[in-house]
Amino acid sequence: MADAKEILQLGIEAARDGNREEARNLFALLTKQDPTNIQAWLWLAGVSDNASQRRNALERALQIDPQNEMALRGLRALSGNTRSGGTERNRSFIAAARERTGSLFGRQPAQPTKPARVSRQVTEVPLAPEDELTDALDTFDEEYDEEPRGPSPLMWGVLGAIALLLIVFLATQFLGGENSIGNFVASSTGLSDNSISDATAVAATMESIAATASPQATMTPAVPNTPTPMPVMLIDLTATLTSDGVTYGLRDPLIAGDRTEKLSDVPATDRYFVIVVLVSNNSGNNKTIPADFFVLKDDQGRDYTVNVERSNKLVDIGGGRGVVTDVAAGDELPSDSVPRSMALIFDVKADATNLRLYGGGNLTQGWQIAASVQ
Amino acid sequence: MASPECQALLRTANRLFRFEDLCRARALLEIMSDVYPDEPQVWAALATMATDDAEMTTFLSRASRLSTLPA
Repeated sequence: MADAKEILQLGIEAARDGNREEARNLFALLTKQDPTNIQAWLWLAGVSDNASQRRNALERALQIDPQNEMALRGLRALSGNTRSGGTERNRSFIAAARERTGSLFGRQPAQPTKPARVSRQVTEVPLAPEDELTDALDTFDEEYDEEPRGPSPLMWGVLGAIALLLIVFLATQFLGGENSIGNFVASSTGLSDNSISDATAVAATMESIAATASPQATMTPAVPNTPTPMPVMLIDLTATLTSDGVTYGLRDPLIAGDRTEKLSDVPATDRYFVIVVLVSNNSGNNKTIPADFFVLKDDQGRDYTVNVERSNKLVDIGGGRGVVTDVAAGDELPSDSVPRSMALIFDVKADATNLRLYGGGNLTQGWQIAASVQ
Repeated sequence: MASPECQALLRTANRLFRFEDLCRARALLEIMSDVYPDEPQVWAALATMATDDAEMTTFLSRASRLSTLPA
C-alpha cells in the first residue's frame, strides 16, 4: 500500500494548494482501488463539491469505522447546516451507527475512552495533521450550501451605487477635455500624445528592443554541425547536445530504448524501437525537426530514421499530445526553449546490435542505446 | 476515449513526470492501471516510465492490444 500512501499525500497536497478537483480525483481513485481506505473517504468528503457527495463519502467512512470521529463530526456538520432533506437522513444514519457502537457524537462513550479504529488505513497511515482534515470537514456551511446564496437587497443597492459612480467617473474622463483618458495614460506612462498616437513607432521600438535582446542561452554549447567520420564519441546518457538551434537529449536513460513487434496492430518490419528524447527549439523560429534529424545506427552498418507515422500513432494511442509525450515526431516546435518530450520510433532489424543514437547530423557524438534489440 | 476523471489523472501523472517526480508519477499510474485496466492511455503512459525493457514492452503491448485506433 506504499503507492496508496504516496497518492493520498499527493491528494492532500493538492487540497492544500487549493486544487480541489485534482484532490477529488486522486481521493476518488483511491476509494475505487480500495473501498476500505477510510482516509481516502474522509479526505474525499473534505474536498467534495456538493453535499450529496460529501454525505455519501462520510457514510462510507462510517460503514468502515462506525465510531470514526471525523466522519461523525462531518455528518453532524452536514446535519446542522444543510437546509434540505439530507438532515433527517444524516440523523438516521448516525443514529444507526451510534446503535452499533454505543458512541454519541462528541459525547464520550462509556468505554473505552478512545474509539477503537478498525480499518488498516487508520492505524497504519500517519497522514496530514488531523486538525487539517477536521477543518476540511467542518467547513461545509462556509463552502457548500445546498441553497445558493445571492447578494442581499442591501448588497444590490451598494453594487448599483458603485456602478453609477463608475459610469459618472468614466463619462467625466471622456468628456472632460484636459482630463481625457489619452492624457491620463500619457501622464501616467511618461509618454507624449504623439508617442501614443504613433502606434507604428511604438511597434517599431518594441521590435528593435526584441531584436537587440540577447538570445536565450542553450543548455549546452553548440556542437559544430560538421561531422567527422571517426572516432565516434559515445557520450553520457544524461548529456545534451545542440545542433542548428535545437537542443536534444534522452528523456530518461532508463527508458531510452525498447523493442516491440507491433504498435496499434501494425507489425514492424522487425522490431519497433522506442526512444523518448527531450528537444527544445532555441533557434528563434518555429521549426519542425526533420525525420532524418535523429539517426539510429547499428554495428551492421545500417542507419534507421524515425518512423514519423508510427511515432504519431503512439502519441495518439496514449491520448494525444501532453499525455504520453509532449509532442510527436514531425510536430512543429515553437521557438521558446522549452524542453519537450518526443517519442521516436525506429523500425529496426531484429539482428541489429550496438545501437547508437545521433542527432542533427552530428555523427561524432551519440548515445549508446542498447546492445541489441533481442 | 478515457473518462474525464481518467484524463485528469493522466494529466496529473504527466505533470509529476515533467517535474521529475517519477516515483509518484509511477505510483499514480500503477493505481490507475488497477482501476482503469482497459484504458490504453494508462498503459502507454506507464510505458514511458518503465524501468526496464521487458516492462516497457509489456506496457506497450497492453496499450497496443487495447487500442481500437485504425492502423
